[in-house]
Order: sequence, then structure tokens, then C-alpha cells
Amino acid sequence: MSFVFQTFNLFPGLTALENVRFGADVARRPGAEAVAREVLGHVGLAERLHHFPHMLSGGEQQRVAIARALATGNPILLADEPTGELDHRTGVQILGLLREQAEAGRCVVIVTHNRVISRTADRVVELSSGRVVSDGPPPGGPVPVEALRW
Amino acid sequence: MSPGRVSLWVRWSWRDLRARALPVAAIAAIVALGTGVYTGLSSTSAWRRSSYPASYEALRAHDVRVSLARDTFVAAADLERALRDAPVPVRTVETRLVVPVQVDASRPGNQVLVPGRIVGIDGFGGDGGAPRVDALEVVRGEPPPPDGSAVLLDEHFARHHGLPDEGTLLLSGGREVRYSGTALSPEYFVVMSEQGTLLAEATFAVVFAPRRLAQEVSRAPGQANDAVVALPPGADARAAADAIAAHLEEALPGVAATVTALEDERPYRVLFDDIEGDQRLYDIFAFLILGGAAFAAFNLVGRIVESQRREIGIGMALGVPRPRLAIRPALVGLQVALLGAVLGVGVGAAVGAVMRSVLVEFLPLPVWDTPFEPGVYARGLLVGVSLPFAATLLPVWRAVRVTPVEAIRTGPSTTRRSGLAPLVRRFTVGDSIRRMPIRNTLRAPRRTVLTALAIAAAIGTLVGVVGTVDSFLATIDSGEDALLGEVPERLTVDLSGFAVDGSTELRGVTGAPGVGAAEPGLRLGGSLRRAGGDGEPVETVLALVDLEAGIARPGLRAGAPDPARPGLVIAEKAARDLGVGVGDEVVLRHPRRDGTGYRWVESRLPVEAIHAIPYRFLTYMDLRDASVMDLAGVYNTVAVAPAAGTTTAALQRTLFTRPGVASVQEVATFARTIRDTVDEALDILDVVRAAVLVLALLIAFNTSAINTDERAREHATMFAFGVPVRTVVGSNVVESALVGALGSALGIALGFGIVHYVTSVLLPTTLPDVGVQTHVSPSTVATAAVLGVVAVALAPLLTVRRLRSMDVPATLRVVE
Repeated sequence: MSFVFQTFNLFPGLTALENVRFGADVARRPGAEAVAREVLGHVGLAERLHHFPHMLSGGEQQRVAIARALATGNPILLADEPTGELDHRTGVQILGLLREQAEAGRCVVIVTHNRVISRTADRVVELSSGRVVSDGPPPGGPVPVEALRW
Repeated sequence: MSPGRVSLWVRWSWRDLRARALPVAAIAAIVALGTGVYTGLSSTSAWRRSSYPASYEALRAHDVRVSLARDTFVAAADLERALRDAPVPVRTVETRLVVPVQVDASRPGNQVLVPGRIVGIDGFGGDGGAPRVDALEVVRGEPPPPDGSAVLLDEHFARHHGLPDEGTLLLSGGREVRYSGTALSPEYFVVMSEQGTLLAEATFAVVFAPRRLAQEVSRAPGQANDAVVALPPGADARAAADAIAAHLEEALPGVAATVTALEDERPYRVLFDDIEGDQRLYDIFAFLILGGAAFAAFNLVGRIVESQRREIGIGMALGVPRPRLAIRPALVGLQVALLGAVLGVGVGAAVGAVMRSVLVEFLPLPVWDTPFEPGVYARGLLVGVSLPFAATLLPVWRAVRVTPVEAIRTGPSTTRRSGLAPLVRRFTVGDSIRRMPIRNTLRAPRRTVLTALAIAAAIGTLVGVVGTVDSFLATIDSGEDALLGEVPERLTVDLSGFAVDGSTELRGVTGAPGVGAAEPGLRLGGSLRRAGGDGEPVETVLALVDLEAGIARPGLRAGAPDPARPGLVIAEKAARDLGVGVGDEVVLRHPRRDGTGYRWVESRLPVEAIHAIPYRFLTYMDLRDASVMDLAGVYNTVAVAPAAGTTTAALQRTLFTRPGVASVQEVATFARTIRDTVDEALDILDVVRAAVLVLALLIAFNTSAINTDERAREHATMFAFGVPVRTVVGSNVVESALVGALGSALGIALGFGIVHYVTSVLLPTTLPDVGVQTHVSPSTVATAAVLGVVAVALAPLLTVRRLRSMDVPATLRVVE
């Protein structure tokens, strides 16, 4: 399982490429550098490989964080409020990326307080005071990420 | 502000303090060490300033001393009369006979055979009670009996060699005397031989005896060659000395006398100059340690205000004035500094207690006044509090300077900056985790530099202390090489008076069994000053030897003796102090034969060469130029080399018993004694090394604790991705080692600076006789580097427990 955090938690001393490579390194994936380049290209940051986190926008930082999680090659991705620190447009981009991963066969678990975001999921588990209060597809089925408004 | 609000801020800051108890304790310990070192060592300066004058007064020290040139005697009554007739208000005069002698104080398994002098005193034991001037304080054993059958031995010498309270001594000429005890004399609070004050107590024995004994040993009945004069209270001793000198030239024609006020005598000046020199050194070391504490405090408070950034912003948004917001973090800095300084009082008391016993042991005086010094402690507390506290004000000021919106802001714009890490973005050796240490080091350059500076302060202290010892040893070694020359096993035989070619005394030495080669020479006192200059003269021992091919000729550093004309070979230190070089002229003040006596004259002579011996007082002249002193064919020393198959020790014993021999000394003894003594003191250096290790560890631990605190989320992220604790700790160890290496490099450079300062600024004042070279040995540098890097690298290991017990989800959940 890999993680994507609300506040990105990138390593400030490493470049975008190295942050992503970290995911591949800890998973002991062969050709870690090549994997990192590929994943970063996939999240649209092929031009920002050697930028340090503070040189990136919030959306770019979160994309690096997602790339880092993807670089591990783990089948489950747990994203804790992945859009919590982002504006709407960037948030939509990030959700689109996560949706892509789900459609590519990964299990993507998103933790959110935002009911609108939950509408993009295939399955929504609602918790209240630590207890499951509902479990199933969103009412009316999943909607495309581009259709979200919040 | 009302008392209630003050109390709130204090309690609030106290909570901040307790939340970071470990780094706070580490910084307080460093402040305590710095304050303690300052107060403990500075107390000794205050003790010395009061104890020295009290000791001189307690033993009725002379105001003016009169010394006749070597091997010059006058009737004691004539000398006393001349002094009493001098146009100065003389209160008391004590004439003495001071003669060179060899002292054998050997015990089974411990050979102690050194040159020395007998101070033959009129008012000694059976000669009429205690001396009226320069009284003797019996430290151990018994006062001498009234019948004059026993002498007293200088306490410094006896203590250095561990001699019993009473015993017997064998003097040159085969005379055995009993000493009833050991004593202190104001003249010898610091023992000074012809070779200066450096460890003279080890190589030079002073025997206080009835003048009659000195007269018998020197075969000079009724004679004197020395006098001490007491003036009425308030009299100008320097003016009196000048007046006495002028009067003696007329009253005792043909007698070369040196008249010196007590305050101008070398041992007296060394004692008092030493206080100021030592104090400067104490200040340097104390401020280095406190500097380390200040840097550490800066780091800690910087971290605290960083973690309080949002609270400060909220306070601003609520309208709390900025100065009031600054109170809380500033109070933390103040409390850390106060805590450390108060603990420093205890450390200072402990350091003071150690220093008290060291002083009493190594510098025995009749009066040691060592009270608690409230002024010193108040000053220490002030420095100990203000320096670290001042260092915390900058981060506090920076924190309250920002706008409220900046302080409160969260989100991507608050992402930590990468500092100087981009500089090494192309350094891509190893995987991403291996790249972290160097990137993290550069990421927070201010903290890295401050930590490195703090470590540099500790390492600089170590290199400063050990490097000074290295410099002494290197100086002694190079001096030994130059002094020993091609015949290192040779002996110097001092005759008890002048001897002419073919005399019994000379033949007794040159023809003694076991003598391989023997070269008579001359040794005279005198002084040098720059021709045409009015600078301070340099006292010198003028050795006339065969500079062309003699066994006692010194190694040369520059120039060469010119056999065609008289000239001098002086020490490099003397040349530097006089501001002269090869080819320049100097004025040599020396005794010159005048009828049956001597008088002081001045001769202008060129400096023909600089010898390589570091002792300033040694000046050489070719024996063929003895006519300058009108002493051609007259000798008072002989350089002797043992024949093949004869040991130096055996030859020394043989010559010791020859008639007319005052002393026999192996030339290598001086260097060997200093090296042995330094070797004995090396244990103290281990203590210094251990203290620096602890200091560096405290400083590094403080930084590690702050890093662990600040990087909690980074560590938690690593753990979340499955990185084991040992890998995280390993990365931190490498990062610390990098900072340690930087700190060690800076510290070593700082240490070189300290050693240079000690050897070129302090020692020329406190040890003017020796040109100590600046030398820090490779082993000292290696030790400092290893200590600095290892101690600092180990610090992250102290945070393992915190990392192991980290609540990863909770740490990642926290926003700020």
C-alpha cells in the first residue's frame, strides 16, 4: 500500500525526480530512476524533473506525491484528503489522476470530508464518529471528475 | 504589564521549555560549562593578584637587588658599606654570597644530579637569626639549627623530585651537607636559572645556607657578590636602583654590578605578567564554550518560534502588540541562559576547587588567599546569561516581524524551502535515501553553519590546548637538535671561578679519565640592545666557544661567523625582539677585565649569524675574540665529550668530584626534563579530550533533537513507506557526520589560530626567553577530527527511542 497525504509531505531536499525515485527505491524496484521518470511523465511533470518541492505549485507537488506513491508499484493507494490544500481546478486534476489509477486496475482509497468528491468513487463508505453508517456506490452512480463542482 | 500577565507569560514559556527538556538541558549544560570555566579560572587570577603581593610582603622581600658579575667578589663589609653610603634612604641591607654549585640529591633508584646555587646568607641559622630581608619560610622539616650545621633546600626543587623533608646533599667538591627542611624565598617564588624559568625547578637546585658555607665552597672567605636592599615604605625602587648603580661605580671601582628594582626582576615580572596572559587564555576558552552555547540556543529558540509561527500569527491577528508576542519565546531563551548560568556557579566552584589545589601544588607560596570571588561570579553570571540570551533575540525578532497573514498561512506556499540543496542537485550518487544527508545539510544552511560553529568552538578549544603543548615539544625538539649538534652526549662543566691555560682546575677536567674531547670556553652574563635604538635590552648568557670547529658550536639558521673580526651569533627570538638581522649592529653590555676586577662596558658588534636554538638568552661569540673582554686565555667552562666506552653518567660523576668544578650538566638534560614533565602531564590532556567529547556531543545532540522534532513528518513519511528506523537513523548519522566534519575543519582552523595567538602574543610576554614555534602535530589534528566527527555522528543515536516510539499516523495527521 502507498500513501498520498493532504500536505504532500515531499522531501524538501530532494528534487521531484528524486522524491518519486524514493518510492521506487523503498520498494526495491529495479531501474528506479527510469521508473521515476516514467511515472513523472505520466502525471504530466516530465518538464519539472529537477525542480525542488518549493519550486512547484500545490497541484504539482501533489502530483509528485501521487507519482511517488505510484512508483512503489503497490496495488493499493491510500489518499488522505488529497485535494484539501488545493484550489478547485487543481483538485479536479488530482482527482482525475487518481481516477485514472483506479481505471488502470489499482485500488484507490480516498479519505475526504467532501461529499462532492465522494461522488466520483465506485464505492463510498461513510463513517460517523468512528462507525460505518453507509456502504455502497454513490447515489446515482459515479460521476465523471470533470463534472464536479464544489 | 500587570504581575498576573507576567506570571502567565512565564508559565507559558516554562511549558515550552519543559516540552523540549532534553535540548534545553543540553544547552544549559553547555552554558554551565562555559560560565563555570570562566568563573572557576578567573577566580584564580583574583587569588593570584592578592596572594603574590601578600607573599612578598610576608617574607619581607627586597626592593632592590645588587648582583656582581659572574666570578666577581668583594669583601662583604665593603659591599655593605658602599650600599649604606648610597644616596638613597636604605632601610636594611643584607649581603650574601651566591655561588654556582652542583647538587647531588640522589636517592636509591632516583638519580638527581643538577647544577644549582648556594645562597649564602648572613642572617641564616647560626649567623644571627632569620634574614632581615628576603626571609625564608620553612615549608617542610625544621628550621636550620643555630650552629649553622644544616641548610635549607628550595621547596620547588624538593617537591618536583619528591625529596624527603630532610636529608643530605652532596655538593660539588665532594662536600656533604645536611638539609633540615625545605623553604620558600621571595627571590625564588619562580625559580630562574641561566636557562630561564621554564621548568627551572626541575633542573636547578637552590640551597639556602649560612654565608660561611658558601664562602668555604667557593674558597672566598669574607667575600660577597650579592646584596638585597630594603627601602622605606613608599620609596621609588627604580630611582633608588639607578642611584645605587651610579654610586657603586664610584664606591667600588672595577666591580661590575647589576642593580635591579624588584618590580623589574624577571621572576617577579613573569609572575604578574603570567596572570594577565593566563586570564586572556581563560577568556578565550570560556567565550568559545559560551559561543557554542549561544549557537545552540539560537538553534533551539529558532525552532521554538518556528513551531509557534501560527500562534504568533493568531496573536497578531487578535491585536496583541508584537513586543508582547516576543516575550514568550524570548523568555525561553532567558530561562535557558539563566538555568545554565546558575548551574555554572556550581561548575565554577568545582573548577575553582581543582585550580586551588593545582596552584598550591605547583606554585607554593607562603600566602595563598583563595576566597569565593563574588565579583568574578557576578561577571560570569552576566556573561553566561547575556551571551546565549542575546543569541535568541534574532530568531524571536524575525518571527514577530512577519505579517499576520504570512504567519497563519498554511498550504503549498508554506512548503519548506530547499536552502542550498539545489547547488548539489547534480550530485546523484546512490539512491534517493543516500542523497538525503548532504541535501538536508544544505537545506538549512544557517542551522548547519551555527551547529558547525558550535562544534568548532569545542574542537578549537581542544586543538588550542593540545596544540600549545605540541608547540612546546616541537620547540624543545628543534632546540635540542640545534643545541646538541654533532656531539649530543657532551657535558658542560662549570668551573667555580676563572682558570687560565694549564691551571690545575683546567687540567683536572681535561685530563680526567673517560674524557674523549675537551674544549675550554667562557660563559658571561650580559645584555643586548639594538645599536642606535632605545628598546628594551635582552638579557643574555654569552658563550665564547670555538665557532669554527668546536664541539659546542650551535647549529646556524642564517649567516656565518666571520673569523676576521669579532661578532655575535644570536638567537632568532633575540633578533626578532631587538628588530635586527644578520649584518646589523647590536650593543653588547658585558664585563671587561679591569686590573684585578671587572667593570661593565658596552661594545658595538655585528650580528654575524642567527643560531637555531630557540632560547633567546643564548648568544655565542668565537673564543678567539675573548680579547673584547680582555679575557684571552681565561676560561670558566669546559665542553666535554666522553671517550668511547664511557657513559655520560659515569663521566658526570667523575668530573663532579674534581677540584674547582662547580657543576657538570649533560647538555641534553634540559630538553629531556621538559619532555618528561610534559609526558607526566598528558593525563590532563585526556581530561581535556573527554570534556571536548562531551561538549561536542551535547551540541550535536541538541541539533539532532531539534532535527528530530522538526523533521518528524519527514521521518513519519519514510516510516509510512516502509523505511526501517535503522535506515532513518543511519541517514541522520551520516548527516551529523557531515556537520561534524565541517565543524571539525573550522575548529582545527580556529585551534591553529589560538595556538598562533598563544605562541606569538601571550608567550612572548610570559615566557620571553623561549621562541616557541607554532606547531600543531598531525596526531592532534587527527584526534580533533576523529573526536569531532565521531562525537557528532553518534548524537542521532540518542534519538533512536523517540523515533521508535513515534506515532506515525498522529504525526502525519498534524498540520502544524
